[in-house]
Parts: sequence; structure tokens; C-alpha cells
Amino acid sequence: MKFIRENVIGLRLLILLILAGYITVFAQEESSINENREMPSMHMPRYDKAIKYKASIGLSMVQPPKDMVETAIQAPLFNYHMIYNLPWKFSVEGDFSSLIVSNQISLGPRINFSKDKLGLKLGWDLAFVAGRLKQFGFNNTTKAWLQYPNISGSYQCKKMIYSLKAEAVLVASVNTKTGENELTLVRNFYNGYTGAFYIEQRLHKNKVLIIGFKDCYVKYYWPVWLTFSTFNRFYHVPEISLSWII
Amino acid sequence: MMKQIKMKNLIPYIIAFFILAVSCNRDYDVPIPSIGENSILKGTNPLNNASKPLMEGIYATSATSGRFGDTIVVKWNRTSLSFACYNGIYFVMNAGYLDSKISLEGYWRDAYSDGTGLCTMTIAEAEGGNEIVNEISPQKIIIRGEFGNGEGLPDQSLTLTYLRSFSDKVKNTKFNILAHRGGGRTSDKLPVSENSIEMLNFTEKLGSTGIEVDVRITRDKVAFIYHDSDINIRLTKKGPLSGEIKAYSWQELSSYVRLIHGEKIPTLEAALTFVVDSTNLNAVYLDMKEDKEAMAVVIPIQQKMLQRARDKGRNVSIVVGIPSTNVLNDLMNYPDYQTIPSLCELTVDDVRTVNSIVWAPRWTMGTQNELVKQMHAEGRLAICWTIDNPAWIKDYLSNGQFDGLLTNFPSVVAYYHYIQK
Repeated sequence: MKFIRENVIGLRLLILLILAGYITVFAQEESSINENREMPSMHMPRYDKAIKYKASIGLSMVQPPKDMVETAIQAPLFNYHMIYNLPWKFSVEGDFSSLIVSNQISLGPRINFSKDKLGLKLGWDLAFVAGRLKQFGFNNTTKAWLQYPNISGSYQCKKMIYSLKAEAVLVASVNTKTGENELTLVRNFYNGYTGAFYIEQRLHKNKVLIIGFKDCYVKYYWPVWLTFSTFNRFYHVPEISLSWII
Repeated sequence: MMKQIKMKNLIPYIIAFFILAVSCNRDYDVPIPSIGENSILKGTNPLNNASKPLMEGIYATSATSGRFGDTIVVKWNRTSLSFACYNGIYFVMNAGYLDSKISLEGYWRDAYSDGTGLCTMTIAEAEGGNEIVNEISPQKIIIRGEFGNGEGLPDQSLTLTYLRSFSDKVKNTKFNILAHRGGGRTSDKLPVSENSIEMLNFTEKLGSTGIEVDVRITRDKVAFIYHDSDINIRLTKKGPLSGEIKAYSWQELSSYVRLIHGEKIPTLEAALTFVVDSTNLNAVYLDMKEDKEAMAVVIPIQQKMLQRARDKGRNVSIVVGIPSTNVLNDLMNYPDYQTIPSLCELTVDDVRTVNSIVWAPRWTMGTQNELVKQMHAEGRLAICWTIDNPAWIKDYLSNGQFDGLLTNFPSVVAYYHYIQK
């Protein structure tokens, strides 16, 4: 029991990877009936004129740095991601992520390139973070503006699409209040970067599962905004996500 | 049918594992940089106690970069000379003299981040060294030297010029700079663990005049100091014990658990004995983390240590904390509870009910000057917790009337306290 308690994160990761492996090995046979249809993807640029809009929903497991939260908590992060294709090689991508007490909405343009099995996206997102948490009888609130210049590359391999995405995280402003007291007001700083790897796998018809592994190397990690006031150092924050294209 | 696994099929998983491996936070330290064999203190003599206060005061800074601000507070503590800056940077310096030249050597550290570096400085004979060594109030003091980054040798110029001594307000007020977690948090990458004897020994270098310690009780009713409710790798090295810490006996904790820098968890009695016997700390706030019959264990230790301090001629205030109504009720079950020195975080009515000598509201309640005045009129002190933001520390010292602040960054409180006019 002690081993399980202490290795709960590793065990969950193992289960996810076994699931991913299972999907990789067996699901392709089932999906072979669709092999002539182009596989939907949230990461590989697509120009199917019939599909202007596509979206995915998912859950991420995030593990905030223990220095900040002082306990080994993990939290599920709900995520909704949408793409709207525009003429030429442009598209708009939007994203909404929520931890109930922390929420981020982002929107930004993309320019897309693709050739054969390769795809490339360049983009710039503007994000707004809002949060509210009652603690010790006080209403703590936050508002923040962030920018995410990003680049991603994708490769299609049979029924799978693999994508690598990197983004810089630039903070325009962070304002946190505890009651009427302004706890934090900081502007314009480089907040770090993220690196992510996504595996997209068609399971059935147009139902595509996306497994994501993301490392956020940041000072201000918006899901735990309340802890930001005095930690002026970078932390790695892992995120593991499971999403469905809907 | 299982397909044969090919190397190229494993590549995505290798990438995924790589990203996860990178993203797992590795524990790291911010070691104190050492100048080693090149020490400029070799062959010097320690300064006399009468010389030390002559160096204290407010100094103007002139650095090649403006990272230390315009002014620095210079103050001796029990073991070393500390410089405090407005932004959380502090210096810990050792001193010695040879002939009439004073040499200073140590390191600087940014309390809010991981920045650190070496520093070497001197006070020349004609720039105050002669008077200080001979215990005469100097006409001027200029401290010249260099600072560096990381383990690199000092290579950037830094000059401190004496501006003034501490104001009468500062000299005549007993203000408590209370350091959280026994003197400093483990998460702030200090060289010793929070709530350890080693931290009690270290915290005065940060400017602390008192401490808060977190008090818990073992299964066999031994009081010890430790913050979290469980044994975890945030605070302790990996070991055979896990789960709720209060489920273990003292023998088990003492034998198997080591704090993150290798120290033993101290009993409350050992910690207080060290404070009384071996430090200049004058206030201890016992933050009670247990609320069931814990007072019956802790109060006899408090009384014993207060007597020990009196016997040694030390004016140390040791108060049991009341952070919740459960702890309040636990105290009220103790005989003659109104005679027990306590610190109450609840309402002023609760303070009066148990006759606490200190009222300690959370800082976000505001300065509450009217209530603080009421407490002062009743002969009580008022201290607020836990205030860490430099702007708010400055504001509370300028506009508040508290008798002390509890903080994770005592060097910042020290700067804004000692610089007051």
C-alpha cells in the first residue's frame, strides 16, 4: 500500500501509457474501414473545405510544484479547443481551460503549411486568465493577460499523427487581490516556455483520441495563481491530457 | 495478434517519456558560494563586540548595477554582519581586522529567487577602519569591494557609504521581526531545513529577532516541530515512514525521519532550549497544529523554558498560538488558562476571554489601527501574519501600529524597519 501511495503519479502514468499502447496496436484494425477518409486532427493543418470548424474536449492532469502548494495535490483541468479554418493558409484557434477556481481563455491566428506527411503551424495567442477562490474568509481574485507565440510540427504515420509544439509564455500583466488588498501587480515579463508532444489516433470513424504530454517551465503557472506572489523562480510543471475531437 | 515491435514505433513513446522526465521537478539546492582558499579573512582577528555597533546604520550604495537599490541597512547579528536591501536581497558577511583595516567576506542572496554570489569588501584605515577597530565612533565609513554571481569570484564594484545611524524611533522601539517556520521556509531554498535546530541557528543572519514554530504531538505525546500533517518528500528525505506524522512515536520519527537537508526533527523542548541557551532570539510563537489535548503537553514545556530563560537572565517571550476555536477550547480546558502566555489569531473578544498577551490577525484584515490601539491600551501586543510582499511590508510599517510582523522574508521586514526615520 505504501508503494502505491508514494507512486500514485507513476502508476497513473503507466496506466495512461498502457492505454496509449493498446490503442496504437489494436485500434488501427478497427479504424481500417475509414482508411480512405482523411483523419481529423487538431494539430496537422487540414484544408477540408467541408469542415470549417472543429473542436476537441479533454481533461488534463496537472501537478503543481510542491514548493508552491505545499502538498502533493493533482487537479483535473477541463479543456475545450477549437479551430476555425480561414481562406488561404490561415486559421484561428481558441482554447478554454478551467479548474473552476482558475480559468483561461485564449484566441489567436495561425498560418499553416503542409507537404505530404508533414505539417507546420506558426501562431500567436492572446490569453486572459480569471480566477476566484475563497480562502480564510477572503475572496481572492486574479486577472492576467498572457501571450503565447507558438510553433508546432506534425508528422502523419499511417493512422497516427505525432505533433511537437513549443510556445513562449509572455506575461503582459498579473493582478491578484486578497479581499481589497492588491497582492500582486506585475507587468511585462518573460514567463518561460512550454514543450508538448501529442499523439492523435483515430478510434472509430471521425472519433479521434489525443494524448498529450506537456512540460510548462514557468514562473507564473496560471492554474495555481494564488501561490505566485513571492515565488520568483522557474518550475517545471507536467501536464498529461486526454482529449477527443468532437 | 500482437505485431512485432519496431524501433520506429517506440519513438513517440520515447519522446513522451522525455518530456515527462524533463517536466518532473527535480529537487535542487541553492548552495552558499564559498571563496575557499582565497579567503581574505585569513590571518585577521575577530572584531571586538564594542566595535560592531559602530558599523551599523544606513548606507548609500554605489554598484555597477542597481540591483541593491540606493540604500542598504547594515546590522550585526549574533554571528555575522548582515546587509538588507529593499527588494529582498541580503548579504551575510563575516568580518576580521588586521592592523587597522577591516575585511568583510561572505555572500549575497535574493530571498525571492535563486540569485546568489560572493562578496568581498574592506574598510580602509583612513575610511573608518582605524576608529572602528579602536572602538571610537568614526567620522565616516566607506566600505569598498566587489560582488560576483554564483560561484564566480567577485568582479563587480560595490561601495557603501555611511549615511546615518538608526533613528531614535527604531532604537527606542522593540519591534518583532518574526520568521516563519522556525526561521525560514524549505521552499525558499535556504541552506538548512525549516523547523530545525540548524534553522534556529541560521535565522538571525536574515534579520529575525523571533520565530514561529509549528508544534505537533507524536502518538506517545512528545511535542515536536514540523509543519505538514504528513511525512512527505517536500520536507523530508525519502525514508521508510509515510502517512500522518502524528501516527508515529517519537522514537520512530527520531530514528527514521530526516529533514530535507539531513537534520533530525527536533522536539519542542530541544528547540526551545536551543533558542534560550544559544541564540539572541527574544520571541517564540508556538503555532499549535494539534487541537486535542495538545495544550496539556505543550504548556508544561513552555513554562519550563520560560523559567529557564529567567534563570539565565534572558528576556524571551514564548507564547502558545491559538489559530482556531478548537485550539481555543483546548486551552480553556487547561487549569488557570488565563495565566498562560498566549497569542490569539481570532477576534479581540477571544483575546480578552483567554487573556492573550498578543493579538495576531491575518495581514489581509488590514492595519486595523483602532483595534491595535485597544490592544495596546489593555497592555497587549499586536502582531500580524504572514506578510511577504515588500510593498505591503513597507505600507504596514509606515501606516500600521503593529508590534511585529510574521514573515517568510525577515530581511525585507528588517530593511523597512531599520530604515524608518
